[in-house]
Amino acid sequence: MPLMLRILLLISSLLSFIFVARRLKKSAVKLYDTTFWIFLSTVFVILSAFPGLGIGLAELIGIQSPVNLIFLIIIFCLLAHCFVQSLRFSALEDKFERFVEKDALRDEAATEKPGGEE
Amino acid sequence: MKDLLIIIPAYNEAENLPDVIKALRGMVDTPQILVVDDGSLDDTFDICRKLGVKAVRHKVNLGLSSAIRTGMQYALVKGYRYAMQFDADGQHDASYVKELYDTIKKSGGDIVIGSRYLESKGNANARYMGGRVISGCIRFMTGKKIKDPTSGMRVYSDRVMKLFTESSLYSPEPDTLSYLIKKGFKVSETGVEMKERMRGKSYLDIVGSARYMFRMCTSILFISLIRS
Repeated sequence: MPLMLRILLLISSLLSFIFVARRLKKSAVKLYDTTFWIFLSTVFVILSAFPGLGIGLAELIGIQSPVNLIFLIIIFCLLAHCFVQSLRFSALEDKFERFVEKDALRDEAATEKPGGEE
Repeated sequence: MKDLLIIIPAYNEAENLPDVIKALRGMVDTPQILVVDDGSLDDTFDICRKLGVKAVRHKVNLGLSSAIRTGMQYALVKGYRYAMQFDADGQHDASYVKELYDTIKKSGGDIVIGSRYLESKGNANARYMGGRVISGCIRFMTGKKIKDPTSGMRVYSDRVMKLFTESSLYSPEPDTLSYLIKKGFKVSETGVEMKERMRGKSYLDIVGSARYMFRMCTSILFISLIRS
C-alpha cells in the first residue's frame, strides 16, 4: 500500500473521528448512530497503521492491489449503511404519517363530542 | 346511499371545494361527505366548516395516500361499508357517484373505478399514453384489462379499506390495484366523463410524471412479486 494513501487514510480517519466526537458532544447525533462512523474510522486507522494486514487480506481474496480492497470495503460499508438508513427512513415516515392521521381523527372526535370545541 | 362515505382529499383547494360540495349536495340521495384537508396552507379547512361539511385536518401535508387512509379509518370507525375517493379539484362529476355505488353494491366487488376510457378513447396526450403503459403492465401481470388505472374516482369496499388502513403497502394507486387483482379481489370499471380541473394547477409536472411512471411500472412488474 502506497505511503501517501496510508497517510491520507490515517488523517481522514482521525478527522472524521474528531468530527463525530464533536457532534456527539453537541448532542447533534444520537449515541448509537455514531458507532458506525467510529467503527469505520477505526478500520481505516488499523489498515493504514498495519499495511501488512491489507496486503495479506487482498492476497487472500485474490485482489491484486490492496488499494482496491480498501475501496471495496468502503463501498460495501457505505452501501450497507445506506440500506439501513433507507429502512429507518421508511419506518420513520410510516410512523410519522400514522401519527398525523391519528391526530387528525382525534381532533375530529373531540369536536364531535358534546362539550368539545363545537 | 347511507353506507357510502365520500372522501375528498384536499390540498389547497379552497377555491374549488365550494362548487364540488355544492354539486355533491345537489344529488337526490346525498351520501355523507368527509373532506380530508391534507395540511393545506390556504383556508380549505375553514371553508369546510363554513359549508357545514365534515372535515378532518392533517397538521402537515402528507400526500394523497395518507389522506385517503385517514378517510378510510374514519369510514371504518363510523361503520361505512363503502368509501369513494372523489377529487376536490372539480374534475369528477357528482352525477356518476350513484352509478359507481350501484355497481359495487350489485356486483359485490371490492373496487369500482370510474373509467374515462371505457367507452371513448382518450386523446393521444402524455397522460393518456402513460395510463396505457400502466394498463399494459397490469394486463401483463394479471391478465385483466383495466382501461383507466390512474383514475382518481374509485369506490372501495370495507374489505379493501381494512387492508389500506392496516398496512402502508397499500395505496390508492395502480400498483395496488394490480396487486389486489392478482390476489383475487374483484376490481371493475364503469364509464364516466371527467372535466378539466377548475382552478389551480395539478401537482404532477413532467419530472413528477416520469418518476410516477417509473415507480408504478417497477412496482407492478417487479415489487409485486416479492411483496406478500
